[in-house]
Amino acid sequence: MHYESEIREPLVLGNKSYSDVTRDVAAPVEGKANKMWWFAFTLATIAFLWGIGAMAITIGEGIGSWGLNKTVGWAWDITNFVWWVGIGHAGTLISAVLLLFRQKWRMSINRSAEAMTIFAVVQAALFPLLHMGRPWLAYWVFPFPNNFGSLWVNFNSPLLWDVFAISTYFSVSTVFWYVGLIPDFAMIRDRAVKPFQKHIYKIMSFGWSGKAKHWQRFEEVSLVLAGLATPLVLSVHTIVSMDFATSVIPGWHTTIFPPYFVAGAIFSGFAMVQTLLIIMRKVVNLESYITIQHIEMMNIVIMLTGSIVGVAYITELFMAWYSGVEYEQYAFLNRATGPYWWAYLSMMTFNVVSPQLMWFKKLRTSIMFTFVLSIIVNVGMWFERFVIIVTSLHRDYLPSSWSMFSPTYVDIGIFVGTIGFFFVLFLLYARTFPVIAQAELKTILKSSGESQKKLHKHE
Amino acid sequence: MSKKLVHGLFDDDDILMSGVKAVRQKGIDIDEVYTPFPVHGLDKAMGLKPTRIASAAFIFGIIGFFFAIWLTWFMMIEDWPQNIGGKPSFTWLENMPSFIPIMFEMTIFFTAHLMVTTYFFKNKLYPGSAGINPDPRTTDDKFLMEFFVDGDTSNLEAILKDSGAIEVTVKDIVEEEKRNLWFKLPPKSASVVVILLGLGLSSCSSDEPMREPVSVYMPDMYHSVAYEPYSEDPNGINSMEARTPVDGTIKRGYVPYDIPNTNEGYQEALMNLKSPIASNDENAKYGEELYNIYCISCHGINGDGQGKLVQNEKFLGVPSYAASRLPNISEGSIFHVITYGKNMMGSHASQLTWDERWKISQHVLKLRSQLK
Repeated sequence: MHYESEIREPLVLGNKSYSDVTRDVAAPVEGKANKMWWFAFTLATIAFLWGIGAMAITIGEGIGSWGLNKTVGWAWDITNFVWWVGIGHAGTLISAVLLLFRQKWRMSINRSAEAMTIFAVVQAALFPLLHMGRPWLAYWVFPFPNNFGSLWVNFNSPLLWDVFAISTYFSVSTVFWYVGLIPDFAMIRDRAVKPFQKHIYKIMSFGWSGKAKHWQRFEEVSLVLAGLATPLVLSVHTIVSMDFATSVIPGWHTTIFPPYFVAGAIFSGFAMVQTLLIIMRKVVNLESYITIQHIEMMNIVIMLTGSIVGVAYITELFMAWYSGVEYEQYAFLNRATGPYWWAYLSMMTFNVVSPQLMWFKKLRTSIMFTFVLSIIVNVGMWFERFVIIVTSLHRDYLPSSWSMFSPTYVDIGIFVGTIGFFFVLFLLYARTFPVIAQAELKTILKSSGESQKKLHKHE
Repeated sequence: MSKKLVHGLFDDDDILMSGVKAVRQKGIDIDEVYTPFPVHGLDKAMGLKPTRIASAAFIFGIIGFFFAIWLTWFMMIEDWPQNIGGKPSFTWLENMPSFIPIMFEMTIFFTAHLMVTTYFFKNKLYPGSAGINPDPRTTDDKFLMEFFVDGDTSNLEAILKDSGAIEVTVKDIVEEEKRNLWFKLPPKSASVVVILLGLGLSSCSSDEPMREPVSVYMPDMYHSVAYEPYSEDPNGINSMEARTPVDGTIKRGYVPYDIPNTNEGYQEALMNLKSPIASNDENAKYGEELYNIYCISCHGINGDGQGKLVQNEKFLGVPSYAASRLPNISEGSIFHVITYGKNMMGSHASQLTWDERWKISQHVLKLRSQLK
């Protein structure tokens, strides 16, 4: 058995045994939902229903019900798409990249972060689907012969790369998540008393038994999936950025986009993880597992990626000036001083200035501050996408085509609806799934648990 | 003597590990160990072979990689080459850079999904597979060693007790229990489901194809309030939505071509139209490059009418440029045909400028001279 240095803070607080971990993780599934949960669930469902209505209007009436016009042909839909995909990135980063780096602190947050990934990608996928106008023909984006004649999809198009990237990302993340869930479902199955519950978890646990050979394969599969998911997650936002970077719109046509988008995605994703987990640890009593240390670690990641994003913004400005390209220069001048200056200013303050506050230990270990900042960061990242997309488009090459974008109630309805849908899924998840990867967490209990650390302190 | 099932239950992973080692030292094989979490080093201590699932994953990745190469090659190069933005469409290698994302994603897709499928298959994990850890406590905090023993078990029991097992149980093996099916429908409800399914499916069939929908569920933007461009407009000039430009308007950089698209026009171009551009190597080379993008898919690289789409029988009847097949063509008539199209061939005037069409004509004549 290997013991960790006592200087390292314990990752599991309190005097927890293996059985305590089991009980704490199973408690929200076995217990009854409290009033707060029902309140949040009702609110999310109402928002979701509004979204469904707005989607029905979009499909029934057409894209004309959105605020788009001839000049700004992409606005909230693609902004929301990129925003949601970006949020998803943190989940994979926590579960895959931190696994490869053997970061033990990932173990109590990876399950929920991955759930967040999957639910966020579902929201993201809705937007391109709706913008197609005829979502029942969505399968045409896959390599079928067009109209079942023989013309094929165009593999030279970044939008088609996106189809492949997002569907691979979604399906691989789901599988990765589920492989990890199986042993934990088995734990709930073996504890379940009610026959219906036992039956459901029996199906979900795929008959897991915890044999030594299965665990051996489990660890190998997790490692390989982590190795696959790491380049995958980087490729997804790279390809999303290519939707813009391969076109010739000033403000989009830059080579800095892929790394800049990936950093932004991780930045916003970690902020969303903070928002969700700060609430969840309180509501389902997981403060011993999701500790201040976890929150601080994530805040450091937010600070780092926020700084990368800040450097990217400044690089963009510098390159616009240094390139000498008139249109590029105008695009950036217009962003900062044009009619959308308020969006640019929000983006700069929320994304560049606010994460720098994390340099203060007092702030990055404050739960309230972290919670507020995590929301600010996500608002800022939404504005970043809005700024990139709308301010680049609204000033066309022809001044006669210049226009503004204002969302209709349908645009707003769909966006709010996806937020509702996301929380509906997450709240259902929090009540029915083991929210902490308890099997994995038990492997570090002896090396990183508080009581065990004390035990070995003077050995 | 009957076979016996021996279970040794432990409540700590470190004690379990030393127990496994102690049992193995006595030369007894452990049939199975059930643990609530992966205990590191347990597989080695039990003498399990390392898993080969990572090697399998590597093979799956290679399959995915080559599948993507085949997919992009077949669809974009072989079956139906498309002219996209005037880039060469007839070699996979030159198009490869824009296929890299597809190759990458397919490699990951195949590796991940086939590996996990293998993992489920080898572990016999599937929805409804009955949970088979003999003691439900082994998913909580207990660890269980399992032995199938012929004959005397007292020795083994003693070893297990000595190495710290909290419980040792011995059972005679009874016949294997019937496996539980998770999806068991009584025959009555099954027949109801079948009848309902049948009724549902029967509503899809009809003797006559439906010509018009009975009611429009989602009107699909059929009823546009605004006037469509180029549609009738009672308020517009000549009842048209679009306005006609001033007579004789041409767009910038456009060279008008006055010969009409008629048989007479064709004869006129054939006899009298002469190329205004110089016949030199530079023009010929440029013409060849354009030809290899815009014409090659049907006319073939040699101009023999055996392009990829002809070979794949997407289009038929593309003639060779050879004098034996087309005795009567000139640079003027070639220009005329590129501009207006002929028979199955469409007009290329929107894709190729005036001087580009002349350069291609020059290359076509060169190909014609090389054909028998």
